[in-house]
Amino acid sequence: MKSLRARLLLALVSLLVLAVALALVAMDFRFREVGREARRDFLQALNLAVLGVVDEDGNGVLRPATPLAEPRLGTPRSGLYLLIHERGAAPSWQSTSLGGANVQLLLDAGPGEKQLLEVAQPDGSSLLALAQGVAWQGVNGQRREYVFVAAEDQATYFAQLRRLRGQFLAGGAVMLGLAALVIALVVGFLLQPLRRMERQIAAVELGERGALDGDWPRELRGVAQNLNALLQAERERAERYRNTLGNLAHSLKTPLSVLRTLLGHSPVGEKQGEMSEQVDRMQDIVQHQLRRATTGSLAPGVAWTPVLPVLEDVLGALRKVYADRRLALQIAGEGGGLPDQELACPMDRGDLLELVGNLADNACKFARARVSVALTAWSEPGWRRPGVQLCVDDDGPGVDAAQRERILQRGVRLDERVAGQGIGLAMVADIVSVHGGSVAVEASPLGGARFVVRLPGR
Amino acid sequence: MRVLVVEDEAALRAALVAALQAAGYLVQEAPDGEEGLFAATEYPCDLAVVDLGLPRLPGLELIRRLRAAGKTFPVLVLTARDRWQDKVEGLQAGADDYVTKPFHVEEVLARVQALLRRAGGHADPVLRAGAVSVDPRTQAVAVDGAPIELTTFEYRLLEYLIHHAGEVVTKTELAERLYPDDAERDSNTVEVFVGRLRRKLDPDERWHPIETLRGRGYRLVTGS
Repeated sequence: MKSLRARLLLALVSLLVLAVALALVAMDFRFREVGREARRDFLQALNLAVLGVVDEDGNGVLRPATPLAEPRLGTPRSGLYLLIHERGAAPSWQSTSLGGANVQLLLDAGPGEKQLLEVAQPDGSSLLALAQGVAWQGVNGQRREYVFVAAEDQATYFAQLRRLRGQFLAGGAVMLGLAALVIALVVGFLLQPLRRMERQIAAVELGERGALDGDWPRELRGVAQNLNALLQAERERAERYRNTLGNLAHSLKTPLSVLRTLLGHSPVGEKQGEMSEQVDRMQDIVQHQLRRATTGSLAPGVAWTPVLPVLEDVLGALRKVYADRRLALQIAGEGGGLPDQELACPMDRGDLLELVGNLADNACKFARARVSVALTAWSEPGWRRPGVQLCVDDDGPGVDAAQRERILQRGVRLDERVAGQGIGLAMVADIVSVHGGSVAVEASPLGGARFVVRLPGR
Repeated sequence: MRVLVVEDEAALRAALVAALQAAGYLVQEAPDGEEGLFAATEYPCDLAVVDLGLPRLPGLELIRRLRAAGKTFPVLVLTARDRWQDKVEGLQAGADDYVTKPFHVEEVLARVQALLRRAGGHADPVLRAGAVSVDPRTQAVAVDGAPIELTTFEYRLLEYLIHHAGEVVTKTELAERLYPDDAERDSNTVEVFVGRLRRKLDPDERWHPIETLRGRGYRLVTGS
């Protein structure tokens, strides 16, 4: 059960179903009880009414002296029956409705006794019968024990019960549906702050916001505050890391410069070459570690950096640096037009400058006359924001197919004639991998090398 | 040519000054940003080498103030920060090139020479005006391809003149390129050195490479 909403809904709905089912069972039970009592009272009343009008006839047989008011007793097989018999004897009298009906109703009851019974009939129907024993002393003073039996066919009652049960179930279902709807709404309302929090956290991950804000319910206020404090602390920690590592590495550089200068001025000795080599290694290590330390965002909630201004800054700087080579440096977008200004990627400006700077600088070093940087969108299904693709072309000598893999590794410099530490491209590879992108070297349509960098969106 | 070095690390500054002086430049030095700004605004300057991590006034701010004050001479930045962010910032503040620490002094020297060449509008590393050629990298001077030996003062004069070939250069400007301090400056000395330079470049007085514009100064001719 992964969702709080589903859990809540499931729990509440099961509870509701259970409650409705119990209510229905209780109502059904009560209805049958009430129905039975009502019918018993009716049968009793019938018996008493008969008892009120019976008299012995000339043969000493007990029978109603006047016709009974109930019309159903006079209709054959109406479902309402009456009979009187002496205990242990055949019926002395029976209602007209019993005429022709195949009904077994010889029940026994002692004087003063009442028995309510369901009597199954040969034809499969069922009668509810009330047998009442009565002791009778006729005019001759002889005591006889009679049994009065009133009975009613239950078919009508059963039909009524069925209909009622149907109505109960339908009503219950409607009630259940309505209640479930209300519960869903209430749960949605209750969980709204959680959803808002979820959205905000997603936005923090995307870099669209730096912290959770807004008014939170009491139960969530602590979570939001703690989360914000954590984000802040994490950001500060990452910043401190960067600064500390950066300062450490930078502070080593000036002594290294001094060492190198001293080496250059000391008389040539056998150790000099070796020392110079070690100084070079230290410098390389410092630069590599510094790069690793300061590349990539450690903290969550990195902002998106628009790419076009970074391209413009870098090419502006390179135009200055390579002023005397009069290179044509161009920026292009989709289909050769201007790039989309909205294109951005989720890394900090420093990293993006580093990436673009090294790629473009590398292209300028090797170019004869032209360098082109193309910026286009890169979309994959499931991304809310597209990533970018950068294509850096030059018209220089290009890179041999065999060397293309190697050139992006650390410290590889294919052309020793061109100034540079040879770690620029390795840095590009580092930054790209930290941000989950890719970099490849191809042949450029301009005749030189083409570096294709893809940086994913989110 | 006058070069200003603003660097707080004494050993590094000394090495840079020594290398630049050996290359024939008149070097001024400053240990922090404030002094650098003072030197660059109060004294003539043809190029500044500025460390970005300076005490009192950060290098970037120094460059911004120089540019705001209308100083157009090239600025070479020295920086321990080799992130592109810092390079772009430096260049946008008004620097013309950068060298990252730790560096070889030769690298700084090469960049200084390239910037000076660029500022004078020369594309070739060897500066030429008429029959005269000067290679700042080796301080080799030749007329019609024949090498000539110059004293330090003569070389300084010629290098400044050739960087400003075709332009009128005042005696004061030249005096400033010969001596670091005001006290030593004397326009008569400049006349003497210009005379010596003329004799070395044109011993037979055939083509008069340095014109005298009375009351205004000198001009190195560009045609042959």
